[in-house]
Amino acid sequence: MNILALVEKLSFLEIIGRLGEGFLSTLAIFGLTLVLALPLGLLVAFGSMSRFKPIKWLSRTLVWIIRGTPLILQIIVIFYGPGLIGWDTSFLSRFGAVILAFTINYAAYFSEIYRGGIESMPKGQYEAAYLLGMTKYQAFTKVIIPQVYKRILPPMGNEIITLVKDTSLARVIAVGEIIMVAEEMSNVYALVWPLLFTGFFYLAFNGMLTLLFSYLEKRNSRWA
Amino acid sequence: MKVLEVKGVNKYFGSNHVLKDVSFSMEKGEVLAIIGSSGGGKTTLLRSLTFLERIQKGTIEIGGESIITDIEKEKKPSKYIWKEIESKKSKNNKDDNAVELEVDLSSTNKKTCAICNKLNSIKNHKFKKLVKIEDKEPTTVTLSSYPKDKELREKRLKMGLVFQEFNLFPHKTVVQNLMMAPMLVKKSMSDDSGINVVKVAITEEQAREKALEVLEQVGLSDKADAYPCEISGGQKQRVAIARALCMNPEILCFDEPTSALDPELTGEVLKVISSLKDTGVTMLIVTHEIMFAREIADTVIFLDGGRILEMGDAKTVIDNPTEERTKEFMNKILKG
Ligand SMILES: Nc1ncnc2c1ncn2[C@@H]1O[C@H](COP(=O)(O)OP(=O)(O)OP(=O)(O)O)[C@@H](O)[C@H]1O
Ligand SMILES: [Mg+2]
Repeated sequence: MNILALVEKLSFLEIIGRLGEGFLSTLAIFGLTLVLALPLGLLVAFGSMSRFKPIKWLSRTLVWIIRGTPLILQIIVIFYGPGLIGWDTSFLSRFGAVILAFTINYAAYFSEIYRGGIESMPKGQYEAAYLLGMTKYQAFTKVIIPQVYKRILPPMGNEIITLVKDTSLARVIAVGEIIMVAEEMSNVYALVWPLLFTGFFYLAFNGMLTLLFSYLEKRNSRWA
Repeated sequence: MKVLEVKGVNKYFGSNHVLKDVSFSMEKGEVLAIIGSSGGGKTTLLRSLTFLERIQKGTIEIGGESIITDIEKEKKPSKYIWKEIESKKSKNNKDDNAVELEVDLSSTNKKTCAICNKLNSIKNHKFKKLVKIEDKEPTTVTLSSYPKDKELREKRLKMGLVFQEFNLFPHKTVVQNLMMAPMLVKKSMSDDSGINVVKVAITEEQAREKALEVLEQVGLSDKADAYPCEISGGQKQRVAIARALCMNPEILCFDEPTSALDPELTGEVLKVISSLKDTGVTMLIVTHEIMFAREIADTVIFLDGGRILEMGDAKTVIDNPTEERTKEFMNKILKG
């Protein structure tokens, strides 16, 4: 085995290892954002529908700001902003800032999906439940939520696939997600395949999500 | 035995006086039909009796238990007098600067709001203080003696309501629609010793047994496992009736149970309602099917403009109405 072949082999292993790290970091951003933003979004949705005006306007303003500005800007502001106005931000790592920005951003989008779903439920469904003696909580959890769930699955699937691709924005504050790593590797070793590899990674990941969502939708397809 | 006693019920939507001193009562096993032109307040009456709407005044007694008693608020609209206050002493004199405002007091918590709006609409803020409420016919102001949610929920169980548009739960099969509430809702009943009252919901087996029995009664045993989207409108309405029956209400109310149905489907629903009469179910039916009302009802109420214009034996009221408005209505309906 000549030296050149050995170097090639070592570089291949290194590239794979680094891509693996990037892949894990992408997965972590995706997973953590989902786990945090799904419940937080529901909370914001309740806020937006609250009969208590200050809460309602607070929630709606938050949603307006978050949806009205680019996520990339929100990541930058959350990471650098506090330091610029003199706060101590040593507690907030780069990764932490990314998770915070993503969670707030996606909670806002999810909240609008939840709200649309909940508000689309006809009043008659609540009334029928109340008339049968159910409490507000029972009516909401047993009658409203299962129907809302079915209605919001397609837009949720859409939003979650967007989240997969948005994770690449984390690199703006140098969090090493998969594309950043791949680009670095491509530059260092003058190779194209690491970048192509990321493309396949996204395709495969989103392909699986698509399958998952069509399975979830199918499970409830018998009733309308 | 009286199962329902309604006395002097008044209901407002804003300043729209929708039910005006409605009083009537029902005996056990009686079938009462309510007829009347559109907008007369029939739906509102049923919704008030099932506490989906709050009445502003009156008494509702179900099964001898008084549920809502005379919630009185100011007569609406009330006249509020605003005065310019210059010195504290002038407060007692009725001076020329008094302004009469009509304030809409549809609900108590809107009171301040209505007053503020009126105040804002007076451009120069001369009138700063509410001095006196002058009511042409003073009434006692008893604020909200209305029962709390929990109490209402219990009382509501005595009433069943079948909606015009069914409102079945689409995500549940027919039999699940029937079993859901009985399994969730705790009802008071005496325990094994027959002395203590315990609150229990029935078990799944008990609920299923009851559901299948009631489905048989409405002729839908074969549809137990179908989803609501898989059955016809007439069948949906029969399921809705069965669902209400599963809670064993003292009175079963119907709000135009056949108006959302194709004409060829109304027959099966009316047949089920007739069969319920034979088993002694007390029913309160709002309907546009005059001939059906004549046949099935013991008593008919003609509700017009929120008032009971005529009430009496079904055949008498329908065949020989005494009031002009009722005659007019019958003529219009019977001519088609
Ligand atoms: N939720 C509501 N808010 C405000 N006004 C209402 C509301 N519901 C009904 N009304 C008003 O109350 C009046 C009576 O309506 P209601 O629906 O009780 O009449 P109805 O006799 O059932 O008529 P129909 O035969 O058309 O069903 C109408 O003037 C209507 O505009
Ligand atoms: Mg009506």
